[in-house]
Amino acid sequence: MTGVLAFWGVSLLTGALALPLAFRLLRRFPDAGAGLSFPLGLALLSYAYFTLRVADVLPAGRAGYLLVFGLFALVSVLLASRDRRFVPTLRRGGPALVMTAGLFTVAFFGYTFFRSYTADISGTEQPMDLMYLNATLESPDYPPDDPWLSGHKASYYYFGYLQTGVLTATAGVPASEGYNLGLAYTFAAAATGVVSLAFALARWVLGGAAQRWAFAASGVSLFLLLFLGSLAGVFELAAAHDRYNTGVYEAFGVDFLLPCAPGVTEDCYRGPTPRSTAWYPTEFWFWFRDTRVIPDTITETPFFSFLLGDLHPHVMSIPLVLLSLGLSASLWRGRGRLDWRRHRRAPFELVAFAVLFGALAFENAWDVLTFTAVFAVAALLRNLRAAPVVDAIAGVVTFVVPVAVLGVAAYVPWYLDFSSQASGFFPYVGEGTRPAHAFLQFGPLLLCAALTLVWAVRRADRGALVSAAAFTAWVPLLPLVLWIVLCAYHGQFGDATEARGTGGWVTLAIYGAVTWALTTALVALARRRSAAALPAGLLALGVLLLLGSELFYIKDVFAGSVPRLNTVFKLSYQAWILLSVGGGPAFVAAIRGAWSGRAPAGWVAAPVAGVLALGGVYAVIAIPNRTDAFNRETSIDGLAFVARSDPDEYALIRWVQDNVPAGTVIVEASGRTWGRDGSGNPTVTNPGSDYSDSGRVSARTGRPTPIGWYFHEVQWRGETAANHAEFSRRQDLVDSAYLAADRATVVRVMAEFGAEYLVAGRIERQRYPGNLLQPFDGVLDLAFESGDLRIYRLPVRDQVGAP
Amino acid sequence: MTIGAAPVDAPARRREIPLSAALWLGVTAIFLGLRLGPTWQAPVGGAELAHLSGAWQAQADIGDSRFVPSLFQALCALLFNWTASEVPARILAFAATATVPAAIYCLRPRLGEAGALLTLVILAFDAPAIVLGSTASAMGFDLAITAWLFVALDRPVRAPWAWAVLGFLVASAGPLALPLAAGAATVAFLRREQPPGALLGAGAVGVAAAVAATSAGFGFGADGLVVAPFRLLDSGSSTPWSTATAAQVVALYSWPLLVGGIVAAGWCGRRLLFDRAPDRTNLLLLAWCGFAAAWLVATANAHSALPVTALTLPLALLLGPALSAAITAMTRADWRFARYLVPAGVVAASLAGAVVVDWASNDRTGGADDWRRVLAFVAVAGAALVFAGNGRRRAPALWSVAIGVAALPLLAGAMNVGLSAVEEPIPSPVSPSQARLLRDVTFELQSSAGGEIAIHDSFRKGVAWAFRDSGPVLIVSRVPAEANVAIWPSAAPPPDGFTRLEGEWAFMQAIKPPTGDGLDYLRWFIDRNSPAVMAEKAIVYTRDKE
Repeated sequence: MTGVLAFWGVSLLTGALALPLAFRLLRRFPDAGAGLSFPLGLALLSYAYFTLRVADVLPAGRAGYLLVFGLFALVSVLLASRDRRFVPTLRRGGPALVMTAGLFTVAFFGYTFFRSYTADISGTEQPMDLMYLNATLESPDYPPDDPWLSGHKASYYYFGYLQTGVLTATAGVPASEGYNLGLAYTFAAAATGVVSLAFALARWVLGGAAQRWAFAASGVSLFLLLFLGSLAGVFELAAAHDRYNTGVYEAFGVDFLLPCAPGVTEDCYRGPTPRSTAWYPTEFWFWFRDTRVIPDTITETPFFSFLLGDLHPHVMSIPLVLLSLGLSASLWRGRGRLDWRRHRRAPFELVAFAVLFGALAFENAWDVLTFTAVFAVAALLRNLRAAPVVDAIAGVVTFVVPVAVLGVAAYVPWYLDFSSQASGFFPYVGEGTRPAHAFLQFGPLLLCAALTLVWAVRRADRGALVSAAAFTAWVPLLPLVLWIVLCAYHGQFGDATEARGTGGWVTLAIYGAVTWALTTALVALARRRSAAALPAGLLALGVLLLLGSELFYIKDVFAGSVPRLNTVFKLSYQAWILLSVGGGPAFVAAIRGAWSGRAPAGWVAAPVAGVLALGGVYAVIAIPNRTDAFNRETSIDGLAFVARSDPDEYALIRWVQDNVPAGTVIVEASGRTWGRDGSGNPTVTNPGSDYSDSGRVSARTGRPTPIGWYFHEVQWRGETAANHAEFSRRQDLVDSAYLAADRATVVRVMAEFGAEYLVAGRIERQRYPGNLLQPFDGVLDLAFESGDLRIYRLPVRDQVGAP
Repeated sequence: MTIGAAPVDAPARRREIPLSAALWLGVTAIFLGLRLGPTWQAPVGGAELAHLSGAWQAQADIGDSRFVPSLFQALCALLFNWTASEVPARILAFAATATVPAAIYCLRPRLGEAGALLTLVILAFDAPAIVLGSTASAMGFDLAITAWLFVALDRPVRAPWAWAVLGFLVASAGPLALPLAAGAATVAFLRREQPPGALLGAGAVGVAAAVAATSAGFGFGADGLVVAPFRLLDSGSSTPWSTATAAQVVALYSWPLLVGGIVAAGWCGRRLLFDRAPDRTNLLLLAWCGFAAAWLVATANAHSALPVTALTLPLALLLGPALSAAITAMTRADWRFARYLVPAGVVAASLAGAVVVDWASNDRTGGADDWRRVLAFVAVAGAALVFAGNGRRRAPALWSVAIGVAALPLLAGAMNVGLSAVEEPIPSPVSPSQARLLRDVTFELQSSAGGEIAIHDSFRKGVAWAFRDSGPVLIVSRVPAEANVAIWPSAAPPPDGFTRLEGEWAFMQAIKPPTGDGLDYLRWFIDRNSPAVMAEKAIVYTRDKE
């Protein structure tokens, strides 16, 4: 509990120290930016830590984190003292500050309570996440080393792990607790961020007198972002109690929930019967498949992410994305033309924008283009209010380009070691998303978005709407035209049009129509200088991203099998955030219209409310399934399950953490499983190492090992022959250290990698079973022993004193 | 007076020493006297052991991560060119610390005469500060640098050269001055002060020169960019410089100072809150305390006493004047009832204490009767003191009780540490004299047996110091063929082909602080011989003759 309180305290302190800067950058917000101060403070703190570590100014270890906190405190005092409006803003925002701290606290402890029932860091890619968290905490040099490829720097967007590491180290909790508390922080910061942003948008749209409605809007946005799930949850619940209609299920494309017909084994239900032993579905992890409803894609939602508990970049970036939207909104709301002169007048603002928007790439590379584009469009809309079109565009260019250039320059140390797996922009030529699936996944959000049209119809006259519609038709058409051109270029036009399928074309048309309508609303409202233009713009962009993911994909290592997997995954996640932020104010504005007697809005909003409620079913049934109805032992330590199930292995991990200096290379099993062939010779029986326990000592301690998860290293460093050769070579060498009868081999292999320790633990006994594992006594020193698990060390020989 | 008249013979004027001067001399003598003992005779231990080992290795041109270096550590390495003893290095630390009374003396206009004296008294009896100021850790200059930096900020000093020197000293020392520097920056920002560019520039030049010097290892070898205070801050929080944690050091030695200092800080803060023009130096002191307190809270579980001293120093500066005011109020209080009730309360509390001491000695709490007795005495003591202090004019009399209660553990701790009592948990772990004896025995054997000396890896921490000025010594996990003498842990299996020499030697020794409940602490307080002494025992082996 002390660790939880310390983490919470450090998180609050981070937000508090960022208030002077939040007041400067987000003063126009009703809460003066209090709700977004958490990601603001943490991003700047972490950037300062990263830069000062790279420059070797800060030492490795906890002291470096404490020093950077002290430095941040000084900067905070400096900013507060130099801001004449600091005290009045503090007074004005006092109630909001209290509410923000309260919401953060409730969300943080609420999620911690949930996570304490599901704390295990195991399965899916959680070991990888723990590995990166430990990399940022334990690496003796910066940029940090890749623990799963000794001798190499990390090549991934790890800023989120670095930020979690800042909180973890400052609070003085171990990484296995920091992992779970980092999720709690992200959840709480996302909650305060979306509430702050949605409240601001709603206040601006509805006016100062509609404070209660603005609160309601922020509550709806909070629900949409963090609790809304797939509508497939309704079908899951019904099927769990054997209440389903085959026709309806087939119509909605959830055939996988129908019992298998005789002789059929695919796309049908083959799980346990009865399906549930409680009021909620008790089938193991039923909720996982509802993010794979659209074939060959992943359509995660933030609720799913927090339910699953993968500390992934796209999850950790949610607060930073909300902050970037807040900065864009604040910029849009300001007055006066934006251009390079603004940077001369306020250079610190340029630096802040550069660091924060540059951080988007460092945290989740997929986000930087989308949300920098929002920033640029916000600047353009502001300039259009103050200048003719050409001047407005020129001003935006001279305003945004320095931010972009500095934003890249600020992260050069990271870029030098980063290699993206992206290898091109291609048209998608496969089957499109069925309308039913699109509705299951995004229906509630799209319906909320459509409510924006109610504003546009009410607030803009018909002539303005028609003229705007004619102007914005290119927005959905341009991607389609580009897709046609690219298909033709690759000679795939015929195949592409056929493969998409009728359903795919219908979905495309719906996305296109909604994008067109929302963009029209944006232009019409912007021409009227209506505050509703910004939420309309966010919603339009959200749907445009969904449209884009139907037409194009970024080529990566999955291109051969599931080409648009990552593209749909990442773009739909961004779309979810945008649609959640804008959807709350849109929904509440419509409800308010009904409340005020404007019936048409109410008629539209009421069924939407019903659909939103159905979208909440997923969360209601998934949580008890995930936690066994809160019947498990609780712990916030992600490795407590190891201590329970395998105390010797846990003792081994703790020994390494306490006795092996950071940066020391440890040899552990390569991940390949070995056996004997018919002739009795050792042979690989299972080459797979990913999504398993391989590299577990390295992941849990941050000490580097020669090779961890093979395929993930390929993803991070590129699918090239050279990489495959190098990674295979490492696996071969590591395996030879365990298998070779000639025991001098083990010393040679350890020297090859500069390793000092070798693990002969539970996983090694599983990967090299029977008498395959050769003894190490006599060649290496026994450094640790617990049960039949051992750690060996190269014999020591050093000299003390001058000759 | 009559002009021109012959002077009448007057009695010869006696030379009078002002009382304040006498007090200053006396307190300074106590301050220095309590540090003289450790300088001469304390075993090398704690952070000093690590840093002297690093300095020795640097002097021998062998890379060692324990050589940071700070300016002080570099000077130690230089001294090792002429002597293998730790005493000259300690004398250097002592000499620097000896300037602290002068610094406090310079603060009399700020603290008042009595306040400054009391501040020095408090600092004199600060046990962790005694160890820091009289031993040769890399932070040997820190106390002096921090004290003079505060003087320079208070005056304020306007000479650029002084700030260049201070900048150099702060950036080439340990982290003790960092909270003060952060506090100074905070106050400057809050008051929107703009220090003269010349002073800032001079300070920056000093800092840059220090970073350049430390990065070059002061000529002992470069190791990349080194900012000595940052490195030592990290080292203190991650490597065990002390057997006791910072929190334990507070519980054992410094809690009276901390409690009193926090009360004084609160009193000062309250005054500042209602002041239209808050005093700059008091603001500085509070900001300094804030940063130091944050450091201590954040590293309470670290094995280092340094964060404790970082906080007790500014608290002493606040507590001195506060204590002076309290004593004045105490003397002016209404003692009509207190003169009877306070002693009565003290006696009753002592009787309760005697029972509890008995429990502590027997390591068990008493039965129901004993508890009733204790509660009754406590109730009587409490009632007596409450009645004695009832009323505005009578309340200050209770300061006598508070001062007495606080003084006892403070004095006991300081006296024991100042007299280098071997059972004190600071400094610990230490390199005992047996380690040096072991070294002599080993070399005697080597001179007859020839070959190399091999020492087991588990003794690595203490080898560099115990075997300094001994030429090359091997640290191994297996005895190599060229070694004929081996020093091995007593708990480990003997090396093959070797014969054991009679006897065991303590290679390293650690005093475990009391870690249990209040009875454990009380038992230690009464009988400071009670803590567990853990020794790493070594056995000497010689190779069997073929």
